[in-house]
Amino acid sequence: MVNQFREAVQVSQLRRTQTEEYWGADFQIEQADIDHLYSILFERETPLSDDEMALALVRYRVQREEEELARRAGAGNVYQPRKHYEVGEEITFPALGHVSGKVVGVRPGNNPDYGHFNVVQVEFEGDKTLEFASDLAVEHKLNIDETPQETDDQSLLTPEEIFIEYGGNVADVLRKRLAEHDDLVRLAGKWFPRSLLVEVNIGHLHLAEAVLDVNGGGPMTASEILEQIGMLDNVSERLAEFSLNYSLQQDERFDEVGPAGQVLWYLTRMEPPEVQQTPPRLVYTPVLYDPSVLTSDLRELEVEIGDELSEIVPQRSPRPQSVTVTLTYAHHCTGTLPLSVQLRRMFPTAYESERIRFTLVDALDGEEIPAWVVRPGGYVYGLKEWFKKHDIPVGGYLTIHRTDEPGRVQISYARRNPRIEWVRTALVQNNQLSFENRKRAIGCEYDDLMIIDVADPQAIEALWQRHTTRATPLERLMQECCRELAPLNPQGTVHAKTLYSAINLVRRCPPGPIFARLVTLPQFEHVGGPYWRLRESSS
Amino acid sequence: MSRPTIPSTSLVKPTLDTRFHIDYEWWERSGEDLRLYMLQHLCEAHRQELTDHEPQVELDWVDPETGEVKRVNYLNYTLLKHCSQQPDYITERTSLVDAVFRALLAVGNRPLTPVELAVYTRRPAEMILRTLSGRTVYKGLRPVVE
Repeated sequence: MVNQFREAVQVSQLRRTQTEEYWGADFQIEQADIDHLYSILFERETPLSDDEMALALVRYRVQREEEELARRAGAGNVYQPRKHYEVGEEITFPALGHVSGKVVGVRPGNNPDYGHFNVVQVEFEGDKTLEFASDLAVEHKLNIDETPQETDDQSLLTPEEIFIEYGGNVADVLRKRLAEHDDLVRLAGKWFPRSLLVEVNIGHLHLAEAVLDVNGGGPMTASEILEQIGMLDNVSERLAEFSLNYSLQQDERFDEVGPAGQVLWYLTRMEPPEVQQTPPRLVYTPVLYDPSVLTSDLRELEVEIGDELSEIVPQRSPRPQSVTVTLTYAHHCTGTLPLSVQLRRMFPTAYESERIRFTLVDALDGEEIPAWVVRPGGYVYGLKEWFKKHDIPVGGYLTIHRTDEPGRVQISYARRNPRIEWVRTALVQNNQLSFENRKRAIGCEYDDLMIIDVADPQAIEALWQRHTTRATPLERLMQECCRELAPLNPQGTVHAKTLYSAINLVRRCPPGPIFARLVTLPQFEHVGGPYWRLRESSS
Repeated sequence: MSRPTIPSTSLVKPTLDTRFHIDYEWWERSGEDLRLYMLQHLCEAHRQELTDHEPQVELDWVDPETGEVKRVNYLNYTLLKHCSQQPDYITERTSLVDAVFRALLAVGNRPLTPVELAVYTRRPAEMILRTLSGRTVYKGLRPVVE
């Protein structure tokens, strides 16, 4: 263990900054690093990102090492324990920071383990005297060739190449260390000294509020706000922007709603209520269940449904160009999309902002739809009118497409010529859900197992309220739905997905608890695949 | 006897770059038994051996990092040569103060920063700094006055 330690703190002649170990798990930030980064921030007066700071740190460490090596190469009579020294000789000690001293005495060494050796007394500046080994025959790490290996410069990694290889860990370690400094502020992933911020007073903030108000609440960048209120004219644009961004961040009237890397402001009071708080229809009261009882078929169905409340481990794969989802009733009536594991990657995200304002674009006609990613609630808001415009049914297929423009995402639906079809339709009779097949014109491809038309949305809402108020147990809702859905199927069975879709008419619930109860409760009889039947004694 | 507090001779607050060492003068003033404490850091075999009888000799020990020679007693030399090389010399069960003390013994009391001590003791550098820079001096562990 001592040798491990010695290797870790050894005074090495080699370019340690070229090694993975140097930048790895034991990499620590030193005070000299912080001082250097501060001086860069003060000199440039420009906010720097974590990566820019990390790259600057890598360059600093590499340069420092080169200077150290050059100093050692230029030092005369470098101390090595194997050498012989006489009284009066001047010796330089690289391991002690290249101090020099004069030999003032020599005596025999006393340790049988080392064999014969001598000990020289060396006097340093300030009359300090230390003893060092000389004529030492046993191995010692200082007994190596002082001259750095003559390496071809082309075989050395540049600081930029080192940063590409190891910069991730450096940035992580640096971020944590910088967070301990109160005199640095961080905004949208960039750092800046607090003392350099330009003063933004309450008058400026009132003006900013007025500008946003007349612009529909936002979103606007700090630069756009500054242009309209004409303040901070005598400072650099970047400094003025950062200072205003920082001040707006401290004031609750303003909400930062930009995607990662972009700072956009919106007046909090003008945000849609459904963005400020999760719509009641999407609120889920957790139901306990044991995920381990789900069969592999049911787990696959869970992934296929893509409910934002399902606990699915994301797969490591490249971000897709588009993702198709099936619209469920809860999201249909709130005009939202689920931020499921699959869909999450298609929408803008942010380092810290809880709400992100962006634009959805109708792939069919180019209509621009103001939309919001609401990260705490796990949904995307803004599609109520669009669902109505295209008459998208519950169970209809929607596709989200990435675009090259940041902050813009395209949406389409599986459009087709409208056809009259028999569609599973939900009704409310005697305060209970019932289902029957009714004819309806459908102009969208849909999941046959999930489609449910609603004849009277207000009646469904009233039933939802009733069940919410009474906290109707999930098992009872499942029994009622199975009883009413079974007659629509010639075999008298219910598909697990259909049951999930039906339950979510009157209660928000992800597939997991529903599927687990199908497997474990005796009133549900498994008839094969994803089909269940209500046992006759339970009907 | 209550542990003596040695007034700080430096008004500068220690940082992660401050070097710490074992202040043997503190031990002389404290009245605590240094030899008894040092015996605890030996391996089991040598602890028994040296408890019964410690040869009264001084040996020259060569610092493997700097080549500096220090005259050490037999107990210290045994620790440097053997006990500090053992895998269980410092473990997660070793208290922080003992771990730092052992680390400094292992390098012949060459002053080390909390960052360097963190590598050897596998404890966070900040925790080491907080412990050693308080008003109480633990086992003579003090910043080097430079």
